Amino acid sequence: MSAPSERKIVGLSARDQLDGGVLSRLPGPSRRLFLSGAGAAALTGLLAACAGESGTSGAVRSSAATAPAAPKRGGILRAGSPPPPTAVDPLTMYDGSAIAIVQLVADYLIWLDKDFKLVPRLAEKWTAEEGGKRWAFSLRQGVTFSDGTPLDAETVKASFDRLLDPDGKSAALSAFDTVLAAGGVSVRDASTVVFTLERSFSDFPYLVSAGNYNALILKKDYKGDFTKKPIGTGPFLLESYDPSAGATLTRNPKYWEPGKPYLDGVQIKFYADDQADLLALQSGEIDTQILSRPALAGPLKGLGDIVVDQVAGTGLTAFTLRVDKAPFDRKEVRQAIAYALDRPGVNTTVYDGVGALGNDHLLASLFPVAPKDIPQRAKDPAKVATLLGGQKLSFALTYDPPSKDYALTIQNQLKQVGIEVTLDQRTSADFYGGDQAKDTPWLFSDANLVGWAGRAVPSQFIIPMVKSGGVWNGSKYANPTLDAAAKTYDSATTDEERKAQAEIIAKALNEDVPVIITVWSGAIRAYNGKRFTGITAHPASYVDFSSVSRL
Amino acid sequence: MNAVTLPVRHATRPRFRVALGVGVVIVVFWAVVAVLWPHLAPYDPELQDPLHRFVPPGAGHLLGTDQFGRDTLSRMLAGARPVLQVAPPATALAVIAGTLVGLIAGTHGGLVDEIVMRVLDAVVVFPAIIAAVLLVALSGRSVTILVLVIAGSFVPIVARSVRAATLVEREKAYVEAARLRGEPSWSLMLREILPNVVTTVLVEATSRFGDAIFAAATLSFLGLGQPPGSPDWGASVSDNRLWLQLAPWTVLAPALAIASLVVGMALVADSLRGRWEAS
Repeated sequence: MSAPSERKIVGLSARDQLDGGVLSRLPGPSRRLFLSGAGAAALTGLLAACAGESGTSGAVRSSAATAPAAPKRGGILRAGSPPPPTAVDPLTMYDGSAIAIVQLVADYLIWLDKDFKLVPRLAEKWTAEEGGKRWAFSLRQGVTFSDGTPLDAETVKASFDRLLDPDGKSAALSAFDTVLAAGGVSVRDASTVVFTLERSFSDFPYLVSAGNYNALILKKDYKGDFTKKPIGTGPFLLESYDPSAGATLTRNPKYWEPGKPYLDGVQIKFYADDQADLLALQSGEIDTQILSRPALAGPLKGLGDIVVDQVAGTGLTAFTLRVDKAPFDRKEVRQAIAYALDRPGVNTTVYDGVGALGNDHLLASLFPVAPKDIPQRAKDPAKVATLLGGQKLSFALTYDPPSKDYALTIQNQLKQVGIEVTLDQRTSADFYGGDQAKDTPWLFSDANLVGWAGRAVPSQFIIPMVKSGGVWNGSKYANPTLDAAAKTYDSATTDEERKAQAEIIAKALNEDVPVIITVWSGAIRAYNGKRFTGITAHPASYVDFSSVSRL
Repeated sequence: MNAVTLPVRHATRPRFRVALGVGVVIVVFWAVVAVLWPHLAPYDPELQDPLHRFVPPGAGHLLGTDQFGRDTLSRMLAGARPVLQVAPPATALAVIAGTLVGLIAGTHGGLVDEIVMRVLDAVVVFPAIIAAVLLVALSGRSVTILVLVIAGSFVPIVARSVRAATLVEREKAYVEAARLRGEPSWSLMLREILPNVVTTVLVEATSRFGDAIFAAATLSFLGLGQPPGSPDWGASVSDNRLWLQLAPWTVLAPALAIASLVVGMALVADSLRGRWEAS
């Protein structure tokens, strides 16, 4: 692993809400892993990529940082992964294993790298028109599918029409909700696709990037049989797939990027048990993991040939409080709970130290627009007592099994300041089931924990989670000031304007505390550093093995 | 005859005593721990300490700490109570119900016996785990549900044994004499036959008690038992198995606790059975 300045190395055991095992279980909003992302400059990256220069340079820098000067060609990379719980279908998939397999075979208009930068792939450049209400994407020339079919604008249009079909099974529909509807994609010429949006949305390129992981470009006649007819423009060809054993991939000789991939192929082995996956890595049966769990793989750092790469992320577990019901209708009560929590303790216990501290607003410090002048909230028992004013507080906390450790930690921490929490663990089916407009526990219980996979842009949290009437607004929070700022943010055309609106939003959430965010999660990937180079962690556990080479 | 039996009885008595003694000591030890753990545990078993996670066994924490920094020894001691809250009532319920059913079937025979046994067959083939899942889904997790599920799965086993013993007893002269005296069937069952099958009942009770301990741990392991965070042994094994490589003590401690209690009860049961069969 090179370029240590760009990445941190895991030193402690860790657990990551963004690992595939969790992803595959996260219902509701978490399934919408637009990107589990982190990294630096969402807007900067976007604007830079719009210019068609910085984005490319970002990709070059990434490659240069992770690949040796003269990469060796050949070799088979063996990767371990849990078996996909659902069909490996780019249109419907939502679990980390299926996403990884598809990403090796098919490609996006834009890749989202581990640093949160947009990297041109099948689209070479893109430009905003009409104040961000229309976007034109210029396609890379000379790209062909693995069966020899050339890539053109009609193919891209067909791919997005498929994703936007309200009668289809697209898992990406919610990602485009209120931004892009069926019929919004058109062809300007053979190499230019135009997206006409329902409203201005300056972060739109993220929605057609890998950040929206279903947005893969497939052939016009794709019928949902990806494992039987795996045709794509990606670096590898899917030779065989066995849902119980694994997948075999070989180099795609028609891959558009000259000289890549360096590997002859990739062999993915499925392990139903996390421990078995880990032991396979330690014993040399596999060379890397697709979905490393920080708690398990983190401690391997420095043991033998194992290298552990770590990146930040924007996944979170929202501790949601119903602001329209007692006792949480009092702002002081919500603030008291926020001041009762030991955030570094949560990070260590629940996220194994891989995460970054949250400050009860949805502008992660990794988002470039995040305000810098809001003091970090920390545990303050004296302030808790003042805010509660002698009130005895007890409540039930509803959650599903993936949030169990978080729930136990919260219960223990609040007990230390005299707040009694009764744990109400439901099955995931129960927690996310019921009438979504009336009684589903994750949106209507008084206090709950909901796992949210990372998003590329803050709007993807703000609009559904805290905007008045948001589809996933479990706190029932309604603040006209925030609503106006969120709307202005989405249509903002300058960095300064966007930051100003972000600050309004962040301060409102920090003050009103409809949702407590203690930690933003991160991600790791473990691999054999003596055999291969170029393997990196990704905030969403995505894989890009096109730059991996053997040592 | 005496020349043959006496050496055997002489040889088995010390073995009975040792096994019974060891078994009783183990069971009594855990029973005492279940009651007095708040005074024995060095730490609050629920107290988390993020700065001391996965601490190996040593001076500060004799059995180390788990992923939350909770003391493993304290949790092991506290975990005795949930298990012993479930196993004794479940066993008692199963033995009482199973004995009654077995007595009724064995004493009456004929159609009654046939119907009872077919019903028991149906109950036996229905997996206890499925029943537990259904009951927990319908009623939520509670000690009562655990007791009912475990007792329900043991009733047919007890009933079969008691029925078999009853079938033997009902053919004996004292039962026939009672019948000729005109004693009602409930009197035949409870006054005449039950005292003579009590050995079978007691053997079943001790055997099922060990099974109940294991069943309670199993259901907790599957997440069907105690609430989240409970120091229950089965749940502890389940929660910590992910870190088996990193912190094996977090799994070994509750697993050994389960094993020791089950073995203790098995020793008691085997010893009593051997003694009664020999006497």
